[in-house]
Amino acid sequence: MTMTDTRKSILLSIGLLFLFVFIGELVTGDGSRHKKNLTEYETLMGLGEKQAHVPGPIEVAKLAVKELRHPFYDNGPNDKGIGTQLFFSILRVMAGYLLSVIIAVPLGFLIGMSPVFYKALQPYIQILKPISPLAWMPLALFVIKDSILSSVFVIFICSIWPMLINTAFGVMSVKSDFLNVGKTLEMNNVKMAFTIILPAALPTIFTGLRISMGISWLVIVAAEMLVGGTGIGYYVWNEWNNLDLASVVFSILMIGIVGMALDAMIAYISKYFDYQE
Amino acid sequence: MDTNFLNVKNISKSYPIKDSNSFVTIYENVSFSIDKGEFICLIGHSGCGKSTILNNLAGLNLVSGGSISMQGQNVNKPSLDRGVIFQNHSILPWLSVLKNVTMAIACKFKTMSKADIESRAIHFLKMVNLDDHIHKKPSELSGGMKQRVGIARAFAIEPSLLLMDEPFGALDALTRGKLQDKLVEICDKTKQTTFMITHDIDEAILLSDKILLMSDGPEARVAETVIVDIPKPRNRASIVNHPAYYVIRNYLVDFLVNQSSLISQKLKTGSLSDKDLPLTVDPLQLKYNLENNIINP
Amino acid sequence: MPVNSLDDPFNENSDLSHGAGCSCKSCHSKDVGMVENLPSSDEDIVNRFVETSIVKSIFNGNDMQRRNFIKTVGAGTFRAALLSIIPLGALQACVNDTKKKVENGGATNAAASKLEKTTLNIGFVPITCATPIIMSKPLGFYEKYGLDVNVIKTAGWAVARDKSLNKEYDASHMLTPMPLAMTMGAGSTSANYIMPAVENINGQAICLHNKHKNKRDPKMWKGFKFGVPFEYSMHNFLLRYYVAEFGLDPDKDIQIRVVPPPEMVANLKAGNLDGYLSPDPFNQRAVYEGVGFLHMLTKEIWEGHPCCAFACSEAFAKKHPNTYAALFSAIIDATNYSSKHENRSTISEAIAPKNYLNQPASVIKQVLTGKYADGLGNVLNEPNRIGFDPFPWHSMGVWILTQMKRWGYVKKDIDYKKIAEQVYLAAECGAKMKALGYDAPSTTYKKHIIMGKEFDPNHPEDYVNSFAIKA
Ligand SMILES: Nc1ncnc2c1ncn2[C@@H]1O[C@H](COP(=O)(O)OP(=O)(O)OP(=O)(O)O)[C@@H](O)[C@H]1O
Ligand SMILES: [Mg+2]
Ligand SMILES: [Zn+2]
Ligand SMILES: [Zn+2]
Repeated sequence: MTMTDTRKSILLSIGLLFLFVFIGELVTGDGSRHKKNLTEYETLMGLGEKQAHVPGPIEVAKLAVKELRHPFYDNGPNDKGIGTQLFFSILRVMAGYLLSVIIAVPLGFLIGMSPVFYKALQPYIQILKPISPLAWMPLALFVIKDSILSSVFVIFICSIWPMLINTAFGVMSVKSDFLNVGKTLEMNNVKMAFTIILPAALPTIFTGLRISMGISWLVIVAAEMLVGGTGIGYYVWNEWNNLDLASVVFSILMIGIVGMALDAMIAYISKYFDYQE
Repeated sequence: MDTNFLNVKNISKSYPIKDSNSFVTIYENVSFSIDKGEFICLIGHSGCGKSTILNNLAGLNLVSGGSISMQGQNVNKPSLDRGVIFQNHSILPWLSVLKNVTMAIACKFKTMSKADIESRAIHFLKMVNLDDHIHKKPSELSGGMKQRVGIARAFAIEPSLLLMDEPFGALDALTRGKLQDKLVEICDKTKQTTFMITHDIDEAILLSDKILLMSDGPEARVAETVIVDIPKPRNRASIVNHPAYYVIRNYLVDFLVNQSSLISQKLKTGSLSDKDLPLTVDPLQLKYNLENNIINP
Repeated sequence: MPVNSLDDPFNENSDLSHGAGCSCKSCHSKDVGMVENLPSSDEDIVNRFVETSIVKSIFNGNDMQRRNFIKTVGAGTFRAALLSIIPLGALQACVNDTKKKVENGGATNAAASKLEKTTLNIGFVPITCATPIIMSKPLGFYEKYGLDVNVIKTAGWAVARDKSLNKEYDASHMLTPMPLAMTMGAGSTSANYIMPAVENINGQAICLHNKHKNKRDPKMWKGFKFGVPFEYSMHNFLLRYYVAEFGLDPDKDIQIRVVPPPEMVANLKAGNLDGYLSPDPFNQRAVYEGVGFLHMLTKEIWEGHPCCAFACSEAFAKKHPNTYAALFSAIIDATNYSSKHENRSTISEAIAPKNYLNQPASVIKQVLTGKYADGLGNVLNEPNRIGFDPFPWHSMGVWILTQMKRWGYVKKDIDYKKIAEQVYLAAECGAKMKALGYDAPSTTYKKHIIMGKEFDPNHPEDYVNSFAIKA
């Protein structure tokens, strides 16, 4: 019996995981300094306690089990479970992201319909696009005067450009043949927009939506590390303060998993609007 | 007063040359007419301006000079009265085969019920033998099938004038042949007024009542009108046996190989005048001339 | 020799070490609900803490408070131990004492009902300086005055400032120079800020990377990269003062970078910094992690220097006078509580969890008790490593302003005393301390000695000009 490629790749994946865990355990320690009969000085130096250290895979896994068993615990405003933190982050990402969808898609549509407008706005978009999210933060805090709304704004401002550009580009590059089909069927502008241009541009628009979702998720972590309070970014920051790298690694994994899930979500939705020529 | 169904009078088209103030004239002084029920083919070298003329007729592209009128109405924008089958089928890839056709029908027959629209669409898809594939997406179709969807879509809106731009250009010979047969069959049935662009001389002879020949661009002209006086209904297998067939065929080949460039040279040097164009060529006359060794003027 | 205004301010010679076994008069008379002998072991101190709090909550009859307490200390074990340990009689003996105190504090039930706002957000940066602000929550000082306070951890001073300016925080833990700078509009939008109380005195240190163990003479620090928590911080001004006394120009000979306190150790470890003058526990944490050593404590630069502050906008205080008064009282009580050495071990345990400092309790304890490893092989005992004293001396404000002038943070001529008096509410603080039954100084200016050099607040401009190295 021969194995299918899928089975081969699954086996390889599992093998790599084992290898990773094995090597990880080999090169990391648990931070304890294995000393007995400590002098007072040594005790105060923490030689009897665990030190900050790079955690091995098993330590991280144990921590993950512990954290995920009570994902919504609440020990006061500055110590909440990973589930709660992720929930806050996702909420903020969604707020900023949806806001930019609401604005970027129609605006991008209009820009794409007018080459003059497109050209006129290009320089501004190109200047604003590469600005780091953290550069927006002080400005947002100053103007909006609310740290949560500011992080939502930063999500908004960073995720809007790929959407705007992709929507405009998608609309602009709708094949003239498709437009001609609409024209010969005497469609008015509105009908044309919804029955020809939008469906034709949707795959490109969704590419922008996916890029933006990725950016939003990157940005929220950075923004929350900066302003703190709640969210996965704050969680990372709080654990980093204590040099608790196992928790940092665990939250990095969670950030990755949620990021992947958000991306998969958009990808899943986009499948319904995708087409092949 | 024009009595013809469609009248094209002295139209020309020019485009501004990029980064300069001058214009390039693609074609000029083009005049011809189409009668109701007529099947017209337009033949010419690549780039001479055939698609441009077709787009002018469709109203997708406006002429720079002259006028086009259909049934007394000036043609200056697209209309449901003129159905177009595009050079590359232009089926909307995000819609199913059926939806591609129903969408067009809904545009034309605004008051028709959903069920009627659908049965009409199915009727026309059946006509092109696609009734087994109505729920497929265009990406699941072969090139020939896509082209048939285009044909069904165009016929389904019952245009007064059907415009086809090399509808079978991208297909293999076998598929093309089958579709030509289909087209012959449908046109015979519906007496559809049609203007078609093709590079395929045999196809043109099989389908046309008249063939318009274009000289080379730029500043191309519709130089000649060849009358295809072969009785209908025609048949791909038997038409070759008709005495006029090879006469016309040879004539067309000669035009494309030699005359089209010669004519544009003559127009430039002034040895040929626009008022003599287009020449009308009668195949019977040709045949007679040939048999009596009379040299073509 | 520290001079803590919670103790007798006029007795300059009293040696107030406030150790675990301190028997001084002020410690005895002011300890809330404490009537027994002083505890002698750490365990006894913990029990004392629990008793004290429970007594208070029983007295107040406030169930919310009790639950809150148990949640914070987090232990059913404590409660079980408590029930077997506390004699009811002892509890009742305290009732009168405490009742008197509440009435004196002006936060009677009647006043509490007039609070304009009862739910407050107060920011803190996770450092030991913030102890009074943090401890008010688990100890129930906020609740005692009818306030429901969220103490919210903040990433750094710029964010604390911005969130205060944005009114997300009603009041905040700040650095003593910050309200002065904000009021003058230096480094931020100008907004009138007031500083009713200092949080802590001393409690900072210069920490160097282990590789510099043989560079103990600051003259050898040319080219060093130092971290300070904020531009408008005592840390910045003390570091500048210190190196300048050794002939280094802090703007030319060393690099000073702003690094949020929690990020200090990681940066030191990564080699981005050669050292820092930072709040604790990050100095002690560097030692604990085997990354750095304590070059010196800041109390050796200026014994009793102010560090962090409790501050809010003038607008907040004006709009919510009763709330502000209640909050002020809670902070003074908490500062007093924190100043007691016998409470320090307990405090260390209470503020160590994730919700507050998120640091090993053993590290915090070294800072608060003053028995610590210096990273050079010595165990030192310095009970006054950090002190808690609310009194905002105007002379301290003037000194800070002279340093802002000295290093070019303010360019224009300023009326030192006017600004200090506008921002530092020394008189108000003194009155409040007296009302709550604590001793308070009767003057608001005094001379300070910094590295052996006298500062006379009456001649600030002369003082600025007396320095050879300045911007
Ligand atoms: N928008 C335009 N601007 C400038 N020139 C154009 C434009 N559109 C077409 N042309 C030119 O007009 C000429 C005719 O083009 P057209 O597409 O009508 O050719 P065609 O006869 O259909 O060729 P083919 O047989 O290859 O389809 C070409 O030379 C082309 O370069
Ligand atoms: Mg063409
Ligand atoms: Zn004492
Ligand atoms: Zn401080």
